[in-house]
Amino acid sequence: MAAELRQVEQLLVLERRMGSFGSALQEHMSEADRLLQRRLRELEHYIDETLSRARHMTSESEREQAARLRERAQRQASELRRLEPLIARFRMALREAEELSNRATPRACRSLRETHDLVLEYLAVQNDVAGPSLSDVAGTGIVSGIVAGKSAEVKVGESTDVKIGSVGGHVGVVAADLEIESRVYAEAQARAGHQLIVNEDEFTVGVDLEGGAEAGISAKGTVRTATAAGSFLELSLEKELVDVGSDATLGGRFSRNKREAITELGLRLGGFGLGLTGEMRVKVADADLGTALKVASPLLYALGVGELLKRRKS
Amino acid sequence: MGLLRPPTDRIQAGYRCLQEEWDRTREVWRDPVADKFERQHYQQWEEKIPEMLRVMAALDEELERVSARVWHE
Repeated sequence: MAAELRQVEQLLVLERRMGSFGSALQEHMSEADRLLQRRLRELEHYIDETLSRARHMTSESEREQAARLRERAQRQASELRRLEPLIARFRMALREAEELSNRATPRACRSLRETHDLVLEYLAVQNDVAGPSLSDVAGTGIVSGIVAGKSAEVKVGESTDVKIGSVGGHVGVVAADLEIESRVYAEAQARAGHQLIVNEDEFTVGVDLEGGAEAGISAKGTVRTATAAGSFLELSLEKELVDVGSDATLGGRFSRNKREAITELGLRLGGFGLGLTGEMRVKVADADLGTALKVASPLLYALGVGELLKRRKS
Repeated sequence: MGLLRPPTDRIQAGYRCLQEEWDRTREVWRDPVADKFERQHYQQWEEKIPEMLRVMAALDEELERVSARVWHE
């Protein structure tokens, strides 16, 4: 019994650690991206200034100096271009971080939670014979208990959670961040994997399909589906985004930038061994959209065929 | 210190904590379910995070070198 309790507690701790690292990863990568963009803008501005100075040197006596400045600007621009391959690899890393944070982490946490619940269920059955139990995970502020097949968990730390559930049915109510943000949400998860999550400003309804596949819709107009093999399709009305892919290595992105009235089509390919990946993005004016979509359609077809092949293999 | 060093260090530190927690978990969770979890969920962190850190470190170093050459020429 003590070993199982220790395992249950450790699964909770790992779930929290994984969840917090998953969110932090995307945050830190975005920060790195912002810093990189700022530095690149500064360098481009510096080169533009050099060229501008050369353009203002129009007199005969300044001709030589202007030529030297233009040559210097060319060398500086050439230096800047040397960064492009590394920046492309960084962009891929950014996408992979996004994938890890938004998809892989929730999936892993859910799996940990399911295992945790199953062990609790086992303990609850044992407990009906052995009597109530209460455990405290030292240093984590998590207290969980089981009484006659019902579980309760109180976590006090970075946020305050109260969870009450019936371990047999995996049905629970969660109230989170009661003290810090007064953000209260409720979560119900049936044993079959159906979910209803209600937050302050949106709700999400989701279902775990057989073998790890999932589908969900949120009140903000985002529809997301994913297969167990890792292929996904995300449609977002709010962001005007269609993202389709297979893991993080093969996929396409179709998105509109409202501010600049342009459409961006992205294509990424990878998984050729040695972790090689490549990414191509094309910006098109609205007038060229029809042509661009024709270009994108073979990719969608290829993804569909790829998925079918994966299913046949498995 | 490189421009990208602080976020890189923070990812590195967070990843180290996750690895330590995973090691602690593995000490008490030794069954086929744990093996499956490791294959399906944990291994991708082991594969992707070190590569991300390598890319960030390489970009940081090259960015500093290029910046110095552009500004000091």
